[in-house]
Amino acid sequence: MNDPERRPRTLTRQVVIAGVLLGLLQAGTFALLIGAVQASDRANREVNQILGAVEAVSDLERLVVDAQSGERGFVISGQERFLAQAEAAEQQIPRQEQIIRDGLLDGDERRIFEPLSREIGSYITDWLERVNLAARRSPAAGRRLVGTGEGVRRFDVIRAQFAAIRRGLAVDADRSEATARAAVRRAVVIGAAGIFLAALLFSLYTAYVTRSVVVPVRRVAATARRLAGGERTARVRGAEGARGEIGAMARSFNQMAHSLEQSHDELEAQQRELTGYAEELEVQRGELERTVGELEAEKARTEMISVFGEAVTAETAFAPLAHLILHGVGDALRCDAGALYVRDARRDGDLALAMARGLDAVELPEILRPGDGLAGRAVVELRPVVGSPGAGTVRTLTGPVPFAQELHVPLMQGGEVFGVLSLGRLAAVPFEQGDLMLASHLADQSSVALSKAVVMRELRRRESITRAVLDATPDAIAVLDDTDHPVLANEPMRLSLALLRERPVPEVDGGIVRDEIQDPRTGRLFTRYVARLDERDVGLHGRLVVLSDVTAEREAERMKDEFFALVSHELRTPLTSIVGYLELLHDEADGKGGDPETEQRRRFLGIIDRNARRLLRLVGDLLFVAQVEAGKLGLEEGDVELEAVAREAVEAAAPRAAAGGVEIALEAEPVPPLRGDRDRLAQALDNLVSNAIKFTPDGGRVSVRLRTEANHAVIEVADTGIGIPQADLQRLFQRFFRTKRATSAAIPGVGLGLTIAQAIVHGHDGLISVTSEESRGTTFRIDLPLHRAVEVTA
Amino acid sequence: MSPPLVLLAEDDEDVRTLAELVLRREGFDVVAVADGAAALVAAAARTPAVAVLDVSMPRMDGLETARRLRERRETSEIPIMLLTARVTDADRERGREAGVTAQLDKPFSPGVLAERVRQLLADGPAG
Repeated sequence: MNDPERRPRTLTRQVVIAGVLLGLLQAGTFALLIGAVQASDRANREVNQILGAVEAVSDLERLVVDAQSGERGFVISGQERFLAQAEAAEQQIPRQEQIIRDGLLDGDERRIFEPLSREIGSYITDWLERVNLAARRSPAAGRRLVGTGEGVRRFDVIRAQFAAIRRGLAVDADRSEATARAAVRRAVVIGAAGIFLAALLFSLYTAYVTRSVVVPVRRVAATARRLAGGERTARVRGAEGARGEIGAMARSFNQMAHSLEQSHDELEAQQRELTGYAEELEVQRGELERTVGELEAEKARTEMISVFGEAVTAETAFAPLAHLILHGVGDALRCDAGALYVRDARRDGDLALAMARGLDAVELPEILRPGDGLAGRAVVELRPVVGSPGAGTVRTLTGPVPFAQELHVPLMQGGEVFGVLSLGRLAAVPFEQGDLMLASHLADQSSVALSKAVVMRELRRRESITRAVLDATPDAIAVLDDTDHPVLANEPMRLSLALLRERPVPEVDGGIVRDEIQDPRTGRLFTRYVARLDERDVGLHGRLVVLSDVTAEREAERMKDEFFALVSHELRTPLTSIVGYLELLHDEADGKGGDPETEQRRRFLGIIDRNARRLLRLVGDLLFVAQVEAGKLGLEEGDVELEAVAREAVEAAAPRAAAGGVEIALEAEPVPPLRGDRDRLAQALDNLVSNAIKFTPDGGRVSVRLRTEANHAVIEVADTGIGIPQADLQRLFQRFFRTKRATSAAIPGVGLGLTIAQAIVHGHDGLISVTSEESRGTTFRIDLPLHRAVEVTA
Repeated sequence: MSPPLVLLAEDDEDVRTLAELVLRREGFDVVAVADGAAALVAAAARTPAVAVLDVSMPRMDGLETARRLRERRETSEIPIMLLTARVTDADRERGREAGVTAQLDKPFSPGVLAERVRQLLADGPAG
């Protein structure tokens, strides 16, 4: 490769020179050959021309003969057809003469031909025309002229000249033929010599190329095969001395082989290095495979967690969810048994056993206390607790088998434990860190779903209770949305939905609107309560409607009212007569006066009157209490001077007090007038005062005190009587209640006085209270507001 | 001048007699009947200056009688007093609705009855 570029040209030059020589030889041979052929051709053409000239001369001779014979025929026979033949021939003769002139190359023949042509022309124009004219004048003249023999003579001269021309042409033809043959012979010799020389040169050239190209190339090829066969040291022999391109090729080949050897050595070194790398890679691949395996395991675990998460999220009912968690987590951790404890509102929020798997629920504690056992520790420590062995047993066909390993996972929600998942393995395979992590993961997912389910269960439970309570309530209850559509209706309401629709439910802002409606179909009366429901947080806004069937109540009230009216009328009417006529008798007795008989009658009338009035008061009290019971206390409002009321009460009671040996006194401070029913307040005070007198023994004292405290009027009735046992104080205001002592002491009364007094005081928005000490006395106190917030309508 | 005419309707004969006696003694002219229907007939025959009606009467009670009297032109403005067995506010309200001028609870004192009737006549026509 390093050799100069010049050297390899040697072979190229040799090849070029040899090629050029061979080409020149061939070209020379062809030139000679072509020259010989052309000479031959030229000679042949001359022969052909001569032969054509001979033919043309012969044709001209025949035409002359035709003209002569035709003329002669006409002369002899006198027939015009001979003459026509002669004339046709005569006409063709000049043209034929021209053909001959053109075809004749040789000057000799042309020299001979021109006299012949003149001779023919004169023969035809002089002789034949003369004969023709003579024959036309008369055949005999014609024949005579012919008979002269001039015609034959002139015709023979012409024929002799034709013969001379033909001879000249034959000589020319023979000469040309000889020339052609000589040219052909020359061409054959030249061609044979050229071919021989070319073959010789080609053979020499081939031998040379074989020696200088093929042999070295073969050597290189053999060397290449050896190289290919792995013989790295193989080289082309004698390459260094070799010349030309082949030498250069051999040297280049050797260089290439050398380079190859070096490359091979380098490659071997590299391969050794690569082998090292490959071993290292193999190690890394092993690590990678391990990592991939771990990743796959992790992926499977993640997928399991995900699938489990989806499953528990999709389940909202508690029992199936508990089952799912217990089995799902248990299977994932290869546990044979388990139990699930969940906070239960029904168990005061304790962790109660919700479900067991592979365990006898009867033998498990129903309630899991924090700190109790391993599960209890998980609750306290808020993390999974692992334990072993034998804290629990699982029932098998062959009897109880203790757990080898236990795991307790707290279920957390919002930072608090609301359940514990306990799992157990029979096999002594300890729980690993991965197990605990997996358990925590699954527990987290379980917690979310389970806490929802617990809430849902609790909601359902409460809803069931609410529903049961609602349905068990005799009142019809409904909740209407803003479009008056009932979103909730209890069982009784379902019977009254038509009524609910027919009677527009009033709008209500706050408080409770109450009205009364009647069902036109059944005639039943309902008290309707409507209240606003506005719990925006839970999207609840509408109205609560309660229909309370008051038909029976109203009917009872009506009957009671009728009864009271009747009884009242029936009792009062006879009393009216008694009291009225007594008054008339009194007046009459008053009119007479003096007479002892009349005095006694008046005394009797007084007794009757007193008892009639007592009876009247009893009737009044009974009816009043009945009225209070019915919630129909009627008060006739007016301005009341309490001092006057108190004084009248004291004055009215004075005779009875005196009769019982009891001192009675009024201690009144000025009190502003207040709104109220004067007669009723007087009645209340009368009752207190007459009680005080009744229960105060001889020599005792009754004080009626009136004063103002803050914005209250205070009336006190204090006695120094027998007092009331503490146990009786509570029941004092109950109707018909009498203390034992009152009964045993035969103190009159039916036990209505205090009841009535209390009802009247309450009717005035007041308070009545009592303090008592046995054997020392009793004090009743009435507090009446001076300014009442709400006016009681009369 | 003839004494004012009091129309008295009371089904209980004793009470009716008592009231009639007291009112006559006070100097009133009295037409006493035993029920509401009779009261209406009597009122049509002779227009009373004042009517005293018991609440509870057979055939037509005092409230209905009061309403009928108010419907008649002649008696539409006369004072009407109802003799009641006071029971409830509702009873009183019914009386007012029927157009009575005053109500007197049973049992009443004869003196009070005479006093109230005198008072009604002195106050003049109702309304």
